[in-house]
Amino acid sequence: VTSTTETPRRPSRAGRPPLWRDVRVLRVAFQLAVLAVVLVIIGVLVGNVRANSERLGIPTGFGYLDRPAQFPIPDSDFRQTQPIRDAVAEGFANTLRVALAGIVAATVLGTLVGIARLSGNWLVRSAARVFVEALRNIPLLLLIIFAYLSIALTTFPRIEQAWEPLGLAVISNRGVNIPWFDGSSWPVLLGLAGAAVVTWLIARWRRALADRTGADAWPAVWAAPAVLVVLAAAWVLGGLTPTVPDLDGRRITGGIRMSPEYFAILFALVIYTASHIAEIVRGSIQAVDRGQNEAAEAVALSSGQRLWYVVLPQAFRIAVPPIGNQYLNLAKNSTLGAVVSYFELAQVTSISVGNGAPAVPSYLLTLAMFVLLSLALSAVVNVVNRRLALVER
Amino acid sequence: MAAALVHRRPDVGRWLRKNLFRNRLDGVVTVTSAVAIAYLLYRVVRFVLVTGRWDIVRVNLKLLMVGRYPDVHLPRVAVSLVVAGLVAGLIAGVVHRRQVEAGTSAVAGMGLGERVVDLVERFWPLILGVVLVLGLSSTPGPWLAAAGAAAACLLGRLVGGRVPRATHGALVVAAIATPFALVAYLADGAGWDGWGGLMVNVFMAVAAIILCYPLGCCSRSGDVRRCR
Repeated sequence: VTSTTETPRRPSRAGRPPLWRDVRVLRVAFQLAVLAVVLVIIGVLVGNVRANSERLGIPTGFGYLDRPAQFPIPDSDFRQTQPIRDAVAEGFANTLRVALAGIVAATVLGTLVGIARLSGNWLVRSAARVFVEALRNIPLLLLIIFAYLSIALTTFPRIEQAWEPLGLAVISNRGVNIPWFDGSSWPVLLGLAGAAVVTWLIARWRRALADRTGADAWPAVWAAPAVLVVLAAAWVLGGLTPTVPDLDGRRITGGIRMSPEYFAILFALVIYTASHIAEIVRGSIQAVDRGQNEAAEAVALSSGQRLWYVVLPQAFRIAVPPIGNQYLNLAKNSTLGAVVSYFELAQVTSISVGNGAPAVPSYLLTLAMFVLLSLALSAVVNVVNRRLALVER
Repeated sequence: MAAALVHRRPDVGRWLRKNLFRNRLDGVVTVTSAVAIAYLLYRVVRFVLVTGRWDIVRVNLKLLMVGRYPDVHLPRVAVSLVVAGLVAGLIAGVVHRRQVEAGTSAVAGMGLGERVVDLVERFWPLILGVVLVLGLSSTPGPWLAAAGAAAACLLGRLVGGRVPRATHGALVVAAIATPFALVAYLADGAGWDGWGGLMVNVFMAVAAIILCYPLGCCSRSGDVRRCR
């Protein structure tokens, strides 16, 4: 018997097509050509900016950051004699104040409205639908201007007739004052961080115990008192005292003040983003297989239990990536605060440039800071997404 | 066994129990929501009908709609609306006919009254917007333009349902080209600096929607092979 099996041979050099017809070579060459074109365009643009800046005597470095800002920032300790560097830092802090508070509030409101969109109650369902349809179809810029002019400055009363709901807040066209605390913010931040760590540790311990013994985990029940203890310790050790806003004639003492500008941008961003998050939550709930709900009903779970234990955990797995996009949009949309003179990062940059700071490095710095903020938010969302993702075998 | 089809009259009490008062908690939610919504509605209606000052809109309506577009060229806006209505009607007619032929039309079996209700349900925001604008206008021009556009749309709908199938492709291409032609026609009257108001918003939106497709397709074309 003669074996006819041949050992596979690599194609000889002579058998290969010529370079200009070799698909692998052509692919690499095409990508190199595109890269070269992109690099040439970037080089031309950078060279153009440098040449024009030098011709006009505009510095292209970042030395301007040490010059005095020459403008004050309302509702802050920043003075106009301080350098632009501090103004940029204050502007970025204001951006963070809007973005982080907005993300938390929009998530809560959006989730509630999204669930309400699927409510069996016709009135609640219809109201949620009107909320979503109305706000999703209004330009955010107009919403911010409307919130500022029509709510913060017009609907809210003058300081003499300020609203004082339950004696806990003072609301007027000078701003919204809410209860706060006297003292440094550090004990609060450390207390919150400690509470988060304690919650994580207790949840891990209870889940491990549940896996080992089959007992109920109840991580929230166990974590709640520990969190309260940690927060109370931070409060006492930090020497914090609560203050409630008090109206004395035209003067308000105590509490913390939200300026009309901050209120307008935060309010508009929250309701606008919440309307988008609501649709994401609704779509995610409807994307959960109907059989899951029916199975939960079959084992006699109540409608609330079905929602909390069966539907929402699966829905949020679907919802996290698009909700993360909404967080990024919210952070970027905070730059629209400039229309109501809220001193966030873009507004500070704009005023700095108006006062003589070079435009190109100023805006490059602003762009870089927004890229960093967006990447940081994306990283957090990606971590949550990975934690929630199904582990496939 | 003969199945008797009983035409049950709408029962308000049953509807209320099923949709608003399923249980005690639902009742509390309904009452609380109703109070809040009633208060909001009261404030909105009071503002719209009593305290709101709409004269500023009436006086500046032309500025809001077409900006500084020259008065002598305003008929171009009306002609553009009529042409846009005609083309929209033609495409609607073509789509309807193809749906009927494929057996997927949702409105094929409806009577005229039902069709009108269906149209109002689908296009109520557009109708409401037009009615609001016309209600604030004090000249016959906007009324004539709106009536002309509506008539052209109806005519296009009737004709579109009867044109031969072979021409459908050409009609779609013409519909895509129409916005560009209308923009050129409007710009011919006032140049690019004369645009403003809602007209420039519509122009930007249409241009962006049309241009985003080729750009998006080009930028993602590298992923096509990966998707296969």
